[in-house]
Amino acid sequence: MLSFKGFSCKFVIVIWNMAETFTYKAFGLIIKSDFEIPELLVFKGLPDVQIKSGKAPVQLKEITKYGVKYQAAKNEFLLEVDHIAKYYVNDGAQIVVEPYKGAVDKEVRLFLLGSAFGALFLQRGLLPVHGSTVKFGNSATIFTGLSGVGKSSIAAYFVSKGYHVLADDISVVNHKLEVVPGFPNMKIWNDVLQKLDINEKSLAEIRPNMKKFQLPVNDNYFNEALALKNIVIIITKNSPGFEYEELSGIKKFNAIKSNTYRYRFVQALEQQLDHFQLLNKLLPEIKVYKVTRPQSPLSLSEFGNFLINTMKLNV
Amino acid sequence: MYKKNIIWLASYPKSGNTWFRIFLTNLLSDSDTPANINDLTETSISSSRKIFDEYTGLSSSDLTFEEIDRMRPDVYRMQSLESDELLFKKVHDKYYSIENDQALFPAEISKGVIYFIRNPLDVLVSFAYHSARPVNKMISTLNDSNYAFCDNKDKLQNQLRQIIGSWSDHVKSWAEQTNIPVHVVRYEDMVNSTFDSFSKAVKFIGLKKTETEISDAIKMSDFSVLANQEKKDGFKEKTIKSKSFFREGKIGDWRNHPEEIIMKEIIANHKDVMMKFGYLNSKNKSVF
Repeated sequence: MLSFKGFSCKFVIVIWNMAETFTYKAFGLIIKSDFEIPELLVFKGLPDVQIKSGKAPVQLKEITKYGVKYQAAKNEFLLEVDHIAKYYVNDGAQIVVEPYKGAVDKEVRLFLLGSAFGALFLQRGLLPVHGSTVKFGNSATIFTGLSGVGKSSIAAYFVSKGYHVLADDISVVNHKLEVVPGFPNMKIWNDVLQKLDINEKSLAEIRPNMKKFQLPVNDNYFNEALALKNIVIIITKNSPGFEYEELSGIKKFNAIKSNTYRYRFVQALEQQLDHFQLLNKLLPEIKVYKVTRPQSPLSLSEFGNFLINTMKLNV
Repeated sequence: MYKKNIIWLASYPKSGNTWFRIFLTNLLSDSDTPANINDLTETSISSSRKIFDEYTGLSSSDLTFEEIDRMRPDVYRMQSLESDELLFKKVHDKYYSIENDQALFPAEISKGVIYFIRNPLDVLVSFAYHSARPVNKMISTLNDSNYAFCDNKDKLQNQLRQIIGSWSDHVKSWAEQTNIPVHVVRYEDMVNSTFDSFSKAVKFIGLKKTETEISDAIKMSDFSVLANQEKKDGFKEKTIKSKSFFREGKIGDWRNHPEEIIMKEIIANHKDVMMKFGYLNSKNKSVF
């Protein structure tokens, strides 16, 4: 009798654990997850996307395109990050996460909120732009460009000056041509934290032993979709001073195309048509600037002032 | 299954690699006017973050140097697989193996490597100008076995980390490896016997080009053409601190720097390799 009671008690606990779920809103989507994702904002409602911990397929049945660490087909995407996790994204509605034994939770979430989400957005026909979004006036400006060019740095600078961000690293544009808010967390390297006088000791590293930190921006996070007004493509040059050029025509189109987050996924997921149509709808409504800054040393305040004054961002 | 369609253009910095890339661009283009020095595409650099991120589907900025190195061979394999043409890739990394004795630059996709070598005494002076550092401060760099590009752990740099090592480490790593056919080109021969030196390299690559085509490409890549283009429009591979990328290109420029002690230190550290490639005579004096 005692043992029966013990058994039933244990059984109830297991059921309770399995049933625990978390619901969030990020990038305009209600996301239900069976594990906690503390980076995201808690929300209630019927989910658009389910994130499950489980077994990912070993291989996709029909593969359109391979990457070194991914395979893709129409509506299916499988990503593997060695020693961390496998991520299976399908129909823009579900992500199955299979962590490797011993993987650190925040590392599992890092690639979930990065490449796996990127594939999810493309499957849903959204436009993920590689960059960070800041609110100026009542509209959104995306800072984009190659890795290492200073997209997050300039956004973090604007946060330090009291502006609000909507997204860091991936900025998602919806069919209403708005940037939808992502989540209130930025990833910032140690050198930029020092420039902004932020003590890294109070921050968590994005991965153990990496000098890149999670910077929570709760008070400077804007949690509503905003009309996209400008896309600023940052590039570097090896001479002093700043320059800018407003792009038009094919240059404007190609600039956004090549700064789409993981453009190779677009072809791999057979989303070229949706991507092309959304871009064509968007381009007449926004301004696209190419801004050139000196490689180094970069004064974030000079760069910030140049951007505000030249693009009249505060007007 | 694999195609041997990659030619690595490898060198220690400031050794003639860029000159040769411009020559190749001119040789492979049909144009009668010199190629723009700023059109040497970023994607042809083997340490490109953009290519790595696109091909892996991951952000290199979220990965450790070691994780990136483990994936780099597959990035090159995939580029090789997707190309029906010869691919030329500039490399400043030394040749080395990652875990399980796997080479960073896989032999099965490599048609060959052209290794550019230059008198380290002139490399020292040129590298010092390029980095806007005093010549005597640069000497430790050439002797540093742990020297690397883009290895700062506190910030995100624009290219992937490249392990370079000391000047001798670098030369030996490429010239002595036996997995990829290697053709060594001395910078001094590129300057003194230009046609002969460039023709041999073209033959090694396996390109079928006439003597006239090679001569024309050499003319369009002349130092004065490159320096003028840089003067007019700048060159994006220059560092912000240096005055110009195409500076002198002279052989024996080190003799204009009277730091005999520094030169002795370079010779003391790199004597064997200098001797092997004809930079020192039997009396341990620089040939150039």
